[in-house]
Amino acid sequence: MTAWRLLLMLAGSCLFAWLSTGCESTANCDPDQTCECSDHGECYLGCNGDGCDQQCHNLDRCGGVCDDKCNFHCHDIKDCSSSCGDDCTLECNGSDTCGVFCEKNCNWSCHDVDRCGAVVGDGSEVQCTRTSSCEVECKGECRVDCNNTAHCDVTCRDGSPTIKCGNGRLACGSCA
Amino acid sequence: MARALELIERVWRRAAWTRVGAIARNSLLALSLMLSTLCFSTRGNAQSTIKTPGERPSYTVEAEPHVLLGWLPPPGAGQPPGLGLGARATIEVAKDGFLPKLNDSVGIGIGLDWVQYQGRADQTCGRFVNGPNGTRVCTEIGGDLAEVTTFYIPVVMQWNFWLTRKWSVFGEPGILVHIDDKESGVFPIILAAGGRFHIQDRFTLTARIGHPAITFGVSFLL
Repeated sequence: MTAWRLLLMLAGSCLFAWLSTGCESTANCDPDQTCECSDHGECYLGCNGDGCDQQCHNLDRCGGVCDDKCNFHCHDIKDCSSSCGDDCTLECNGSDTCGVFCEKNCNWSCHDVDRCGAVVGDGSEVQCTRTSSCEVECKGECRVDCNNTAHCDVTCRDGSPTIKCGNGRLACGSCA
Repeated sequence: MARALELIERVWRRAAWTRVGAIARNSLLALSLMLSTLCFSTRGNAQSTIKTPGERPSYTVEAEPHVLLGWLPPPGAGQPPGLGLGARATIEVAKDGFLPKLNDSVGIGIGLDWVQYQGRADQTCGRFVNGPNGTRVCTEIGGDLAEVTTFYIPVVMQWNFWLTRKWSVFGEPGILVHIDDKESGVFPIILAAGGRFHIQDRFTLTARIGHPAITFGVSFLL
């Protein structure tokens, strides 16, 4: 084996290592694209429009900001947050705190978390499972299911009383 | 030579499809120029020493001050491009390297580099709003374009090939300790390839390309 071949192998190895490494430090996610943040101290993902699939895990702080029809999942994070428009599906687990702002028809699952807090839009559904506390403010009709949650509180922004539906379900507007 | 150019062309084409951008392509151009120069200069300096083990300057330590161009996404909070200064000291640990029939040698190098990167604005939160239950929700991305100062401490094995009296090249696998404004850690694998042009036996122009930076400098073989 000549030195030239060795040199080229070494140079090629460097370039291969670079080219085969996924780049996660670029700009916002594109619609229908999955974006992931992991193994950094802090990371916040944006979306160039609607329909992004955002994921965060194993970070101190992470969050997603998106317009409509986005998916967001974070786990094993100290502080997780999501700000989303209409028709979003959000999940947070294995965290100290999870905070959410979302608009109409939002579906949020917060489980195995110390503190869950959300402001959700009309037609939204929230599941708080195995949490110390879960506080939700509803802008319109919403349903909140609390299971194995020490403190569950739902506030209806229109001033109407919270409805106790039974089986851990609280609602604004109607139970179904 | 043809295979080398073919490899470079392939890499060049692939680099054009990545999002790393013009700086990476320019760096690849620099690499291809360096390899081409090496090829031609070896042809010109017919006095090859690669097959004569031991025919090279005798030294104990290579002292190498250099400038750095951070061309790849670095470990830590910065983002390319980055520019900086640093130095490397490489101690020769084996005068005869792994290949007995070739003029190769092995050293252990340790360095200290300072690189100034642009902040990773797209992955910071520009605005937090307090939410229910003591939560904080990020409602805007970006906003922090502050520069990120990064320190690197590379520890590498340097495998040298002494091609001619004027040219030597090396490969450097190793690890990298990185410390910046926001985080620090150890990057487990770094790879680099480089070359030296021997202005004098013990004084060279030295360049390397690898992760996370390209370096240009001089070496004193002491």
